[in-house]
Amino acid sequence: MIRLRGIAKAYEMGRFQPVEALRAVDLDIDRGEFVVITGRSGAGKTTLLNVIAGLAKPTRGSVTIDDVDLWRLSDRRLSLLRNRTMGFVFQFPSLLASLSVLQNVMLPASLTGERGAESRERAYELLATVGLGDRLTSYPAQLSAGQQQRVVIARALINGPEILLADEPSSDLDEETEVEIMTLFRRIHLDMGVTVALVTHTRQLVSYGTRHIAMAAGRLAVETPGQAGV
Amino acid sequence: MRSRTLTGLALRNMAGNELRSWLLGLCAFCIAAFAVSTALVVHGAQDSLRLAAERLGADVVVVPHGAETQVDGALLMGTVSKTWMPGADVARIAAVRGVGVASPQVYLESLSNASCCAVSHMFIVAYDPRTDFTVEPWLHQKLGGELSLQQAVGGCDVTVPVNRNIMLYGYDMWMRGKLEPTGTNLDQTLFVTLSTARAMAASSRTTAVRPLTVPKDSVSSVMVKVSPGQDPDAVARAISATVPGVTAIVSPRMFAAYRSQISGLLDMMLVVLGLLLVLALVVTVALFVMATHERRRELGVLRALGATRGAVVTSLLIEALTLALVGGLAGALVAAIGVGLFHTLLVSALGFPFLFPAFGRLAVEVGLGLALALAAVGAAATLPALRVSRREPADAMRE
Repeated sequence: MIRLRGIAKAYEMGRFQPVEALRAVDLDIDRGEFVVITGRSGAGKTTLLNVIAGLAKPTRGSVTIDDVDLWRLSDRRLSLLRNRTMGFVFQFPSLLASLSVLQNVMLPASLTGERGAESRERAYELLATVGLGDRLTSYPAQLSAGQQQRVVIARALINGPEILLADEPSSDLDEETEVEIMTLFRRIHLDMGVTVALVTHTRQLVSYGTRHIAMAAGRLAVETPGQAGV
Repeated sequence: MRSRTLTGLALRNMAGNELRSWLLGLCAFCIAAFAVSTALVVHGAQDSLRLAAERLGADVVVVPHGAETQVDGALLMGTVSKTWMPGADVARIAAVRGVGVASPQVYLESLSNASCCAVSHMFIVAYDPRTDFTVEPWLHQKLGGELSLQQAVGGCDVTVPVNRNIMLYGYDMWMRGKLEPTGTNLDQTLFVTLSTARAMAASSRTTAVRPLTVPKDSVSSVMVKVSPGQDPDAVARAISATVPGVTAIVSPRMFAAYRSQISGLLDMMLVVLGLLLVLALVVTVALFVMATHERRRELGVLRALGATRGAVVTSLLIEALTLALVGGLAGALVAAIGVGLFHTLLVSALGFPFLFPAFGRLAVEVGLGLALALAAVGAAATLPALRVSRREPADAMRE
């Protein structure tokens, strides 16, 4: 489903030497996998996720999703592919502060002009699924970090994506909330059949995935089956 | 991205950063207000001069040599000319080859704050009804006949109503009608025949606080209509060459001093408007660079969720143009209302007349001022919007 070949990504750092975040990465992620990517800070995990999502253009190499080369698409088609095929959960608070919980969840649907009534119904269901069915009119500032992350997950699922990309989704959460969020990811993976690629620096989360990839210095270091896949 | 979502986000961002929104609105306000007030004054002044020339209806105006500015001032601003030319010159002018009609006019004024005058300091034009082509055609068309003794017509701003008595120098006259506006002093001018002026002068010796003097055998100016097919320039040159002590001015060159004053003001206003535009552009660019920097992560998230580059630019432009629309409309309306309310004060301060336009023309001027504000703010916002839209979403989301 997702195929990365010879991916390199370097960031220009002004007068300094470019920083190579990814070096010659080859990776295949099949439909229905739950891949957990671990590594220390600066290992290139987030960059790898951004390259998979088409949010960062690789310096070298190709990224294909279902045999479609992302960087051969126009901006409009790439944006549509992201909107329809992928859901994102970011490490940082990514809800729009000026929108209510319901409006935030409906945002990806409204970006492509989907009819409000349909996406509203789906948003109700998803918010009920993540346990926030009673906070539709709340604003992000009125929610805890764990609740905000659950809204982000609901938002990521609004367009029924095939791929869910999560970057350190539980890094700011307490242990109990982290378990809740990760259990939610596992349910999404199992119940909805969504392919998940999740980046974390915590090795404890490896158990939630079907495959574990460890990264170091911009390369894939170790690949092992996750416990969920064993 | 659907326009409702874009507009909703833009409106929420505006409400979320009031100071920036006020500053952007203020930029648009200043541009529109200055552009509209400049346009109203300059176009109004040009209209006034054109209408005043049309009102006089002359191809050539003959004035005493050296009194060109005085006569212009009399007609436009009501500052009565004290220079006269011999009445005999009228016949000499009429005899010049190419002259069709030569009609004399005498410029007078009422007394200021005198009990014998119903209105204070009114400019009076006395004309010869046998030769006049300034007022008489209008009288025939609108009122069906010429003015008799003790009758007058006024400019549109004369305060005495039609079909009422008006007393000047203790002499009663009947107001028969009012002329269309020109925006000049002609709108506050009373037109009477030379016979009425002389009767008023005779009566004033016993009825007025100070008598009116109408110099015998002297006139203030002579309005000339050239014969069909004749070149007004050539006729004007012939009059100046043939009749000593006079200057003949062709109609388009009348009010030259005022035209030059208006042109000078227009140049100055355009320079100020240019500086104001540059300043507003710099401020708008700076505000939008700040805004896009503050919102780069949010814009990156929008891109990740499926917003195209164009949608990001559109969202930012909707924000800028909405503020420009509100600020610009407010500025244009305040300028229009201000120029209308302080018209008299502005005429006196600027030293030349200008006609406040009718609603249709006013709407066009307001629309153009608003369009300028929209274009300036829109153009200034486009650069930072394009810049932020070209960044990689991942780069935009990074701290």
